[in-house]
Amino acid sequence: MTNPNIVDFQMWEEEFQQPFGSDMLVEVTVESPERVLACTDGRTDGLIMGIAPEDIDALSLA
Amino acid sequence: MAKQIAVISAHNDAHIPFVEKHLKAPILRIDPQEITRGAELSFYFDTRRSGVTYKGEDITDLKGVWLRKPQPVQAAKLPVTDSYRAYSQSAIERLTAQLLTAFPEARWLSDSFAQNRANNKALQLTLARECGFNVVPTLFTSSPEAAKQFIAVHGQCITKPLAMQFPQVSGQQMAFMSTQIGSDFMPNLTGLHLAPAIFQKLLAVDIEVRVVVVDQHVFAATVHTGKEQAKPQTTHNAHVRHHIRDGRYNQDGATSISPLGLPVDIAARCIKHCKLLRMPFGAIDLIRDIDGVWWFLENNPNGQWAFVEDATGQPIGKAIADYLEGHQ
Repeated sequence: MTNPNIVDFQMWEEEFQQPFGSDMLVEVTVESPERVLACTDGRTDGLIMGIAPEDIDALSLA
Repeated sequence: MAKQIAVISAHNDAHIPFVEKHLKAPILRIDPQEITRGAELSFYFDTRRSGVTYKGEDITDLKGVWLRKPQPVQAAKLPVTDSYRAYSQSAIERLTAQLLTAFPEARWLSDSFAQNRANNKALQLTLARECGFNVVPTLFTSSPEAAKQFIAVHGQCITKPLAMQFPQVSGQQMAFMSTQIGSDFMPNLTGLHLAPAIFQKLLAVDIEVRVVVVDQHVFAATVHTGKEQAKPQTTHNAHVRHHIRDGRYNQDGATSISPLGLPVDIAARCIKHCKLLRMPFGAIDLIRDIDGVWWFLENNPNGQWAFVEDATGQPIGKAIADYLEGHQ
């Protein structure tokens, strides 16, 4: 009978995998939503990372 | 009293003045965040009528509603204890969500539910084909094998995330940008089942074009981003940055935007694409390749456009004002 107090570390490690894209992640500057709205430069739109686009998009009302 | 035009957005949205200056009356700014500072928003219903009140003013009969970019209520900033943050946020969001159906007689730019639907990239590409656009060979997949086969067929490709949120590493915000892959650089595909992504054949680009559609009006501009390398922007996965193909990254800030006359058939397809998406507005990204062939990339239901008008003088704001007032 398996002892539940013994942790199977191999199984624990195997549970964690690297999702696709993890080897392509790069640092980005997080623009505040206020900054995006104050700036008419289209290139700042979308540089909001870590804030889901729906957070700064009209869809947030839905 | 004349019916008003309202904009639902942050009160300091820089796009508003581009439209407001063309309206006969000052635009009514509805900023949902102001509710948290005590501004009234009320909806009334009985057998005979319904009504909407904002800051004490009856706004039931609006002529037009411009759904721009309202800021979400941030639970962390609400003046309540932690145990009440989610509760308070949920209540405020549910109240402001009633705005989306509160003005059925008004001209909306654009209807929120149409925007939701239009954000579906698979739908955009399917409709693009229906409109007669060339569609870049594209694969959305969770399968490493499918991705390998696609890359084997098309050689140099671009991979883009489907994810809309990205991790932080040691407190630093990270992102997966559009990246060129192929013989020079091949990422590990085995984790696609945990982060499905987009793969697209790499085009030999001549010009990149942003097309803003407002009802029957089309405003096109070429967008050229300087390719000069700024100081390294990343130490994490530094080898990747040379393969990034997103013009907003790794550029020295030199972006030139110039008006462009679109071929008549391309302009007509842009208008039709927005119509099929049930939206009077769209910000469409196109590419013309080195052989002169036009390709559809995507249609942003609520894309930024003020930077185009700012650079080119194209009267996009006026077109939006005219649409909201019913002049189109």
